[in-house]
Amino acid sequence: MAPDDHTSALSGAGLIEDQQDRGYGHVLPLIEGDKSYSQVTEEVFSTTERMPPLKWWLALSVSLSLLLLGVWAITQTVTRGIGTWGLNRTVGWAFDITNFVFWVGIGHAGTLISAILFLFRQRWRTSINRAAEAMTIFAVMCAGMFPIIHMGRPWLAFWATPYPNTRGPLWVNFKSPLLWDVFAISTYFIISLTFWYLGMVPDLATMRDRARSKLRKAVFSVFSLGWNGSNRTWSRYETVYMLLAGLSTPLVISVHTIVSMDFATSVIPGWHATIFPPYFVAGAVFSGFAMVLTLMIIARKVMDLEEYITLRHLEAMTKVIIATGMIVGMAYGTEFFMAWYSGNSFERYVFINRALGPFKWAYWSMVSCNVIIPQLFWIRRVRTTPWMIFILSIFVNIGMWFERFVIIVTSLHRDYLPSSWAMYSPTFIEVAIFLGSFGLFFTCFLIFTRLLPVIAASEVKGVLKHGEH
Amino acid sequence: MKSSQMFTVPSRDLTKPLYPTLAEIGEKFRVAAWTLSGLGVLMLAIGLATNPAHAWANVLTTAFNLACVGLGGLFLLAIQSTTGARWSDPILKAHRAMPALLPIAGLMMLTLWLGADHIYPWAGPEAHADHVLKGRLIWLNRPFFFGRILLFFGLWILLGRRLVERGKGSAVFILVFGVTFVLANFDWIMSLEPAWNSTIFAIYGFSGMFLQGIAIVTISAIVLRRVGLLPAISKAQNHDLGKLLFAFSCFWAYIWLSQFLLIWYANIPEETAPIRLMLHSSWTPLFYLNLVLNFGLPFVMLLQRKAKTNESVLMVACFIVLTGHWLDLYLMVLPPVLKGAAPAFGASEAGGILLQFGLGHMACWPVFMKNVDPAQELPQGG
Amino acid sequence: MGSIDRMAPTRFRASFAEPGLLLEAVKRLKADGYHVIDTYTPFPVHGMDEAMGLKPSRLPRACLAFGLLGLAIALGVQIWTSAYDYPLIVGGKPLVALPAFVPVSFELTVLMAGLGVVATLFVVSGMRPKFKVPDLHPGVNDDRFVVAAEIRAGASYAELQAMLAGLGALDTELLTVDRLEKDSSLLDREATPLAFILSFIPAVLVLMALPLLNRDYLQRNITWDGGMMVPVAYQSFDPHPSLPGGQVLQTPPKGTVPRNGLVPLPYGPGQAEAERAGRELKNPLLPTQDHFSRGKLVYERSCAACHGKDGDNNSSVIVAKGLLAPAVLVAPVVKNMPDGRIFHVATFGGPQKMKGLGDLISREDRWKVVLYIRELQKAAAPKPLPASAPAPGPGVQP
Repeated sequence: MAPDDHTSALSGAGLIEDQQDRGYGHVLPLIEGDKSYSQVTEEVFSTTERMPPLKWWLALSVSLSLLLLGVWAITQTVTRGIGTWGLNRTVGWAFDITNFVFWVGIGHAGTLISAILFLFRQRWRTSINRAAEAMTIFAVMCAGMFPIIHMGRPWLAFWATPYPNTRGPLWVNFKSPLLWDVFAISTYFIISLTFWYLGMVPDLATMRDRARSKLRKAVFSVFSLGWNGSNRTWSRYETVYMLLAGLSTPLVISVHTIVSMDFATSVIPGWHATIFPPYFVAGAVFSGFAMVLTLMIIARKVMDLEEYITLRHLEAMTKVIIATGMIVGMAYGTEFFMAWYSGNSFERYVFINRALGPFKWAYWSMVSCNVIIPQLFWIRRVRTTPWMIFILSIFVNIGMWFERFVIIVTSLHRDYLPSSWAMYSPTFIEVAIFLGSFGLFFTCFLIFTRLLPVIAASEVKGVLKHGEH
Repeated sequence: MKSSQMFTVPSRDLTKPLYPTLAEIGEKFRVAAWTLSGLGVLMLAIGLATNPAHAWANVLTTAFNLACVGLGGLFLLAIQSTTGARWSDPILKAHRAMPALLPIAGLMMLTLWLGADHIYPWAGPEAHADHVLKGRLIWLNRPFFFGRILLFFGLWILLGRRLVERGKGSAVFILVFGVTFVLANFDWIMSLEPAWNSTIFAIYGFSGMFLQGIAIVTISAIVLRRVGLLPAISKAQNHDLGKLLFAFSCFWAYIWLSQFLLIWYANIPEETAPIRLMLHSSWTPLFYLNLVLNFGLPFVMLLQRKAKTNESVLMVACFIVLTGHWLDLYLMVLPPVLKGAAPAFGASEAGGILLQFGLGHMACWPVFMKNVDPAQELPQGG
Repeated sequence: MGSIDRMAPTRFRASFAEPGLLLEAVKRLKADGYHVIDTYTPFPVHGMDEAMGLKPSRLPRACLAFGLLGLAIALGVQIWTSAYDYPLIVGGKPLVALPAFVPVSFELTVLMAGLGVVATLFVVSGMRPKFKVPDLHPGVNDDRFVVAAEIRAGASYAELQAMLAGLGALDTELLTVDRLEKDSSLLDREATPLAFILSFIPAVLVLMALPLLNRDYLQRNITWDGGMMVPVAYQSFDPHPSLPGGQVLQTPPKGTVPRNGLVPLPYGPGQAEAERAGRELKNPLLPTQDHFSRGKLVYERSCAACHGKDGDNNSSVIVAKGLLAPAVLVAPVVKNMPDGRIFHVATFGGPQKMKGLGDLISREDRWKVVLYIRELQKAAAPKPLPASAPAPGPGVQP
């Protein structure tokens, strides 16, 4: 759906597009199978009109079980208190905030694909952007859950918003990074949802037109907003889509920046580092793309979408993973160098303790999963073999979870006074909530794949025969 | 002139010389460049005689800025080579010319051997007694420091030549550049402040360098189009350059804010000293001016789509950004050298600026001319 | 306009299989003088805006305006709440700490700009839930590219059809039904002044219903959960099982500094300390009438039971019972003691049986007692010691 495509000079900025245009040998097609428009319509929408196959139900039952486990654990936490977690002095943040940062990071790739790649007119985004945006929304839901549970009285979460109240002049503290988080995450969720929905309106109109049952027709009539494909509307729609992409780009950067400031505004050694904002953003993109790859490789297999989510898409994403992985590696190095350079003994201790202390297993898991293993992506055969990409993407997911764990727990478990040193290990409840968040994520995602078009059909049609016009 | 006319593709027909040809401009510039460089050296010499610390700080600013121009060109080239972007093919000439500055910048950096003890707190004998500097001397000592300068410039020039001439090794260059540029920023600029450190510092330096690179490329693209040598430049290309300029101006502001906000918020004494000086002294107006030049003005000027495609607006914005980047470097280098004294503009500043213009043109122009020679086949980008 | 349409169809539409064909057809129709109403496509066809002569949208301005509104609201709320309505210094930052307001301002700017521009799009393009969609070609959201235009006056429909078929049209049809009529939703009917008046009814009803609720609007808001207003913690003096005897209010630990600002006395109990106090301490109070009468009161309450009303043990209860023989305060031994030493005894107790009264009598009152004892000594005539009292020891026997 790239506007003013043929007039624009950026139109060929595609990562691999260009190699094709220049006659390089290594060419992989964007959409395979030489499809017609109606074939695309049929293939994309028919999945939403049939009952799902058995493998879908199996997947749903697994993720629902995880979700139920999480619900049970959250119930335990809320009714019995945060004491059910392994938190202590001085480790007051551990599993929950790790999971929070992890899930927010996962969400970032969705916005990156839908907004930033759109602005750069990278056409390979078209068949994966819908699913990636859905992933963003579900991931932000999972992320938002953790701080709310951590409040202990989740039903009072609305106290974190500034609203006039009867407790005298009493307002939230706008100078607190935790409040910035509230604004950042909720804005991110709302704008992502709007972006996702707006992008889906033309496809919802197709669903409305194809609907046979009255109920289905009514529901999609409501949500498709009377869409009739009018060019006047398309014209405005594209302007707004472009504006939203332009707004989402700084927004997504701001979100992880603000998350990083939860740590970096403090004076805790290992947390207070000015590099945190860009380092967290790069890490978020890194982990997010890994999660997109994990999901897409499953989805294309399970839903027979190999012709839409092609090796070109996968390969382009692995390149983003290499690039952001290198940035993250640079940040690790910079932090170590600066800890030495600063001459601050507390700062030096934190980093030595990360690499050699009681959590060294977490630290070295992080380094090997995030910096060493992704180097295999330099090999083209690895980049174009789905099962290898899948395995490597899982490693990156694990590594990035450990990155947050390492940052949070290793900095907290050693206080300035050795008498205040502590250790942390999660309780079963905490692990169950973490598994539950995966359950929530996959349940939402599975339902989405059957209820709504996973592929943006109107966008795919736009790139189907590109070069002809 | 109506805007629609602005973007008509100029014909190569030289019977209607709307603008002077490149050769004529080149001739004029050559004379001007020699004059400027000569004047610059003279002024710096006066500065060295009167106030050596001040003058050496300006030599550093000038050398670093010239290195930034060269690296900016190389980095843009490498990025578009790895991503296979095609849109910038017509404006590659400037990218290819900019790295010609690197040897000169390297030589200037090496002259600092003579003046290191004037500006670097670790270079003097008193550093052995300082409890913070003492621990760093293993890294910050003259042989190792200048050895690193040689190494960095050697790598940049070597890999840059390979990239410019054969279009190869862009990924390797980006990797090497990542490590060396980070260390260069820490070495050359951050070590001016004895007790201060900031992990984002190199990224901050990078954001300014990249913004400046885009500004220079934009200026040269517009100039070339006006003299009729880049007929392929279209309104859309201007729009893309405008968008890049806008985006990286915002990126610079983002990195600036990340550094400032975190130091301001945490309020750790050894970190806040340089920022306190900026906020509560006669440097304050310059501190805010830096923000306005690098972010405020470009942001407001280029917000509209119409402005991003307007060549005149783009030109003005680019020159603002160039001034802003010089001021940005100046504010990083001078305050620690002057040790809290008020800003003073004298012969050294003038010399540094003149030298930048002079050397910039002298070094880049021959390469530039070669690259835009219409008779020559355009080198194929990697 | 609608009525004319109903009389004779003046509109038609044609559908194509490819966007390129549609673009050609639109250009041709425009060139032939037809008024192209709109085109309908499954995805945006590039170049169609130019072919139809559409101007660039002005929605970016709406976006900017909403963004600026969001920025103004964010800055206004943050500055007003943090610096005026609820001024609270946090982290040593100024009340108006602009760097700390940047993140929230940015978020609200983006939020308002994004939601505002989408809302504007919905309004200007008439995007809202519709059960009947106007001008809907059945294939338009699938694989058809449709153009709708008005028939030029005097043109033959048959010729037009042939021309369009030549351009690759798959079907051509006359649009017989008026657009306005086709979209027959109640919400799309033309609004009359009556509707305008009727639209106020709900608001009036709500206002009328308010008094019926009969609520005191000044009372505390209703909360469905008491939250922190209902404490789950123990009440202050409830017995607590984890404390000895369940007693909540414990004796403060030794060396606890009272909160009234008094510096702790730098003396401990014992003979040596008593002598040091005698050397170092001076009575800080002057022998005024006020101090004297307060000293008298405290003495008679706390000291007289043992030492006697006049300090001579004559009216002493414990002497009368034959239990102990407290020191005779008016005796020369005590008379020769420095003020500080008497004060030390009053505070920490004597060398034999007397307990210190430092916890019971305030420091100031003890000095006043010292003043009063001095008065007693002045008033007392030398008397022989009671026979039952032991001779005063070598030290002090207060």
